[in-house]
Amino acid sequence: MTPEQERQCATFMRLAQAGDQEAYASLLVLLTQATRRFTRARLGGVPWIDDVVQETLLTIHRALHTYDPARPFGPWFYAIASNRLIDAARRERRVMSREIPRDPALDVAAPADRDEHLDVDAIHAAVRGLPPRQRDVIEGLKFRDESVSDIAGRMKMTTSAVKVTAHRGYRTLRKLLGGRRED
Amino acid sequence: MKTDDLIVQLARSARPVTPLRPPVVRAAWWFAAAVGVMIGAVVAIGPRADLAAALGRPAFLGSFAVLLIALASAAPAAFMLSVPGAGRSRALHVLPVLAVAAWPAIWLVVLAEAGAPVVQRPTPFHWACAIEIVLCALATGGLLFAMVSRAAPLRPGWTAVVASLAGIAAGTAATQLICPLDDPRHQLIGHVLTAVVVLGAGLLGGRRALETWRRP
Repeated sequence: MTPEQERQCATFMRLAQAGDQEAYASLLVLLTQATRRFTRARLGGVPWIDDVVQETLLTIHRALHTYDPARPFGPWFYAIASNRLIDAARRERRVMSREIPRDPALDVAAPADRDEHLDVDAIHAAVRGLPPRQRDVIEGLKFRDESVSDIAGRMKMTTSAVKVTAHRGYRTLRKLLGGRRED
Repeated sequence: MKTDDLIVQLARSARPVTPLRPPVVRAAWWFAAAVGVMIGAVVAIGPRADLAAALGRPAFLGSFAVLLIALASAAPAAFMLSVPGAGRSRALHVLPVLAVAAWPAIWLVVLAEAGAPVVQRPTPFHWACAIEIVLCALATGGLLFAMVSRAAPLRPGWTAVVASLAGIAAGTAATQLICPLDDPRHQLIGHVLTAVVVLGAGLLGGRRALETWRRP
């Protein structure tokens, strides 16, 4: 955040504390961009940047009264953003350590003898319906036998980001295929 | 929910807010209240008869001084930690911890010099001292937790530690002016042990209380 942006944020913040909704919206837009830059600079292109941004905005909203207009805005904002970023990183690490070993895609991509009702065409259709990034990662891991690091290199992502993207894809697939099986 | 939708929703819910006073000002208010509670307890129960003489003894004076240092450093630390970006110095929470740790250390030195065993009958624990410490710590610490939870403690664990230490320092400092026993065994088992129990309760309950501000 440049000194000019910091001054602008401080002005918007003073107005927001007075109840000015437009100034508050402008402030939140500026802080959304600043949080994205801040997160990218520390963690690279992790797929959960939006989680950090939204949690930072919510925390700012609840801590609005703690900003002292006589003090600089930057330290106040970055203390919140870095706290939310650390919390989100810890949470993701916990999720990864607990959930990746129970790879749901192994169940859906297993041979038909594990589930007589498994429909391979339905799996391919479900994978095609995933968001492009998740689809690319899952096709690479499960259909083309690429390693996580190969995919990370090809897609210019970190290995953690590939695992998180795969995990989210599996979750979506499980929902989609679970629904079909019940039918 | 998309971030743009969240921004719209948050902006719509914006209402005028009154900025909190600076942490140092709020700490001064708390300090005044805590001193009031401590003086009230000492006056109500009655100070030890030999207070003037006790203040001339190094162990008593040193113990009382480190408790006052803990009191004076822990409360501002709690208020600063509760405001984002205000409490960034590590010394802020280390100083009260060191001051409180020095308190039993002084009595352990006195005990080692005296050469008496720590556990010895009659028991050096007296309920009156424990009750005074607990009540005084509850009153001052409870007020501190209530004031701090109005802000936004991003690190509730550390904030609960220093807030609990402030309450304990207030309770034990006041009790030291009342309790006539300078026996190190009584100080360690009757006062320090009670303070450890209060600290544990403060950490367990206080941390949870300081996390409530994050909930919608």
